[in-house]
Amino acid sequence: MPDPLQLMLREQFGTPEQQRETSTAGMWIFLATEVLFFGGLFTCFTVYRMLYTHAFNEGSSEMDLVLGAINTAVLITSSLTMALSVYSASMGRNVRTYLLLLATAFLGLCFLGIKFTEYYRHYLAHRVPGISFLSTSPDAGPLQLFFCFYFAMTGLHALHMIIGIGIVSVFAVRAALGSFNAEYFTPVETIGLYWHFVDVVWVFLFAIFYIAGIHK
Amino acid sequence: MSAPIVTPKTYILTYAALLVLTILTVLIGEVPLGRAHMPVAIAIAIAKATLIACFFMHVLVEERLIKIMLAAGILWLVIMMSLTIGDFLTRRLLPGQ
Repeated sequence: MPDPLQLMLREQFGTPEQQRETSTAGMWIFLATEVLFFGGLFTCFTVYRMLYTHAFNEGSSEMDLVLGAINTAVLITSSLTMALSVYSASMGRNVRTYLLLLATAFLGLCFLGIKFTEYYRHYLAHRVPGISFLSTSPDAGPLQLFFCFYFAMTGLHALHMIIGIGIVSVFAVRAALGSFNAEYFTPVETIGLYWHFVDVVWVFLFAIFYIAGIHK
Repeated sequence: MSAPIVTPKTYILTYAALLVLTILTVLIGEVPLGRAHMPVAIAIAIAKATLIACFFMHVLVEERLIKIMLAAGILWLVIMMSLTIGDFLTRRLLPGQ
């Protein structure tokens, strides 16, 4: 376990503040690449939605709005616990940091549980392209395309969630073991940025897949 | 300690605003808006993303370098989306396309 005093100021940095700013800037550069990573898929979805609007609206109407909304609330709550854990880490309160990181990871697992329940229901309804897709709708082709986008984009998001939950859990253990203090809590801050970004991606996924095209 | 500080109270207020916007998103899904569904949903999503970035991700209190990085990421995303979508929107403008 690395000594916090050693991590507080590594050789190549002039001050601990410079070190912290560098870590933050580094994570933001990575997040900028992630914006373009997901952005490419969003652009693709937008183009095909323009070409097959009716079929994509039909696909949206098959989404479970309630589960999607609950998932959104779960992720937003996990972002709150994440932000609070960064704050408690900056105050040097390791037990509280550990509990809040644990809560964040747990809420992330709740999100995945709900998501995979939705996936299973789509499987039962024969809406999984490549595995089980059957539709008698005249828009069956573009509808299948909608579900390709759905599984690809939410699947990529779920992969990011799994990675995030793993890292947050490891940091929860590190917090409990006293690896962080009020002067050095940069890892918690950095994974916080990652976690909030993954939440932002879900906010947009919820908007484009669940909302558009739901009619009463 | 040198890290920028956002208070727990700000976090809770931001959280409440985000939940309100989520409920709003669900409600507009139930109202017949016709073709306006997507733009309104995206607009609410942008509002939520802005709240998360400014307060949870500390963008408002961070140094300018971070703000520039966020702006740069968004700028290149806008270039990619506008040129790609513009391509598709402007097909069939000339005869024989």
